[in-house]
Amino acid sequence: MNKETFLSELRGYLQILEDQEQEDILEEYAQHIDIKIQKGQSEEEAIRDFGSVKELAEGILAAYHVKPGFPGENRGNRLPELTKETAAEGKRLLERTGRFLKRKCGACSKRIGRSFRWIRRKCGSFASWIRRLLSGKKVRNREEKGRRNEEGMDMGTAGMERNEGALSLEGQRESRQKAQVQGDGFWKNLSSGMGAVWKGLIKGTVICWNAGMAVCIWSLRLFWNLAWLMAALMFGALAVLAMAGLGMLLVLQFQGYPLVGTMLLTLGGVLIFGTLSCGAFSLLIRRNPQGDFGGQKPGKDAEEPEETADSKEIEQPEKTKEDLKEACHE
Amino acid sequence: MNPQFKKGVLELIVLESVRRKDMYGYELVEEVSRVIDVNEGTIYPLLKRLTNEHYFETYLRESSEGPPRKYYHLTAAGILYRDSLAGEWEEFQARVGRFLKEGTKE
Repeated sequence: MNKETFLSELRGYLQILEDQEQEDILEEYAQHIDIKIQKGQSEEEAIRDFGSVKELAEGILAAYHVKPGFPGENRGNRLPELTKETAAEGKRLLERTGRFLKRKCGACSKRIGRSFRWIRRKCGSFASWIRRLLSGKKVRNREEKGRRNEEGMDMGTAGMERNEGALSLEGQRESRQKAQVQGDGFWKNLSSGMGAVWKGLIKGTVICWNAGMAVCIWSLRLFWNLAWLMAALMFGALAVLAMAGLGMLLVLQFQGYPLVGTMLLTLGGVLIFGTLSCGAFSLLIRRNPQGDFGGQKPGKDAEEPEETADSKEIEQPEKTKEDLKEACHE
Repeated sequence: MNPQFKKGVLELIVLESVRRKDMYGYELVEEVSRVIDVNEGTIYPLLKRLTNEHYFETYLRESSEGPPRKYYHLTAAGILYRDSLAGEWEEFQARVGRFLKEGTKE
């Protein structure tokens, strides 16, 4: 064994020590060997006098109170290798894992996006289904009412026909013809009236829907505002309390009590609660965004005239009824 | 000689050697080897430890043959430590000697 291999082997065992310590010790051994060589010994001999490198290293580490069984051997022999092939291998491994992770992440994100799109589609279809369901129900209810009205009107016509019979005993044929003519007119009016009612009902459902939504939004907003207002007030109260505490602590501090830490704590509390209060206040919705309420008002305004028009249309059949009655009296 | 004996007394011999004269590593190894037969390698870690514990100071001095050498010098703390160790050794040696003599008297 020559000096270089001896020193590198010894260095391998001493990896646990600081670099400076290693250098110091190894320098001493190198010098020792050099002096021995100068005195006429061979390199081999000089090194053989040290005995087993492992035992020597254990002796050195024992002087530092390192556990004798510490696995210095593995460390020492493996560390130099790390710089060459193992480094390249590690790099390759890292690249491979990076590529793998990238691929996996891409697939994952794609899947997540797809699932989100699916959820959105499902939600949309569900919402439209609910809307259809609700509007369908309302329409059906209105339909039933409409049918009842129709029946009532039928009864009314039957009654009228009876009156007719009682009034005009003499000219039954004429009156019948008249009645038929009048009846045809009545039916026309009735059907147009029904159409108007139908239209009105649809509009009514739309209005109801809008109004319901508005009420819903309004109540939600109220709830939200109330909740945040409460939170803001609570935090504000806490901030004020903390500030009062801070003042008291300040006075006590000046009187000589060691309260710097507590004071800092309360100061922090003041800041935190103040910030939270401000944050809660900022979350209040003071004025509606334009799309919410401002957008609906013109819609209502626009719908009102239509409504009145509808009511006029609905009133028309009644007028025709009165006309009929008058005609009958005549 | 029992290696455990050597181990215990090596520190005292090294301290005493350096107390007499500032020495560099190899010189010290030779000096210690005059007293007890010890593996040359084991003295260097001891020097290192005593230096780290501030019983030794080191300085470099040029030498006529080869690179500058690291000399070891005993500090005041080192002198106190050496004296306490020497005292312990004396007492230990006396007691063991007395004990051994007791046996021979009987």
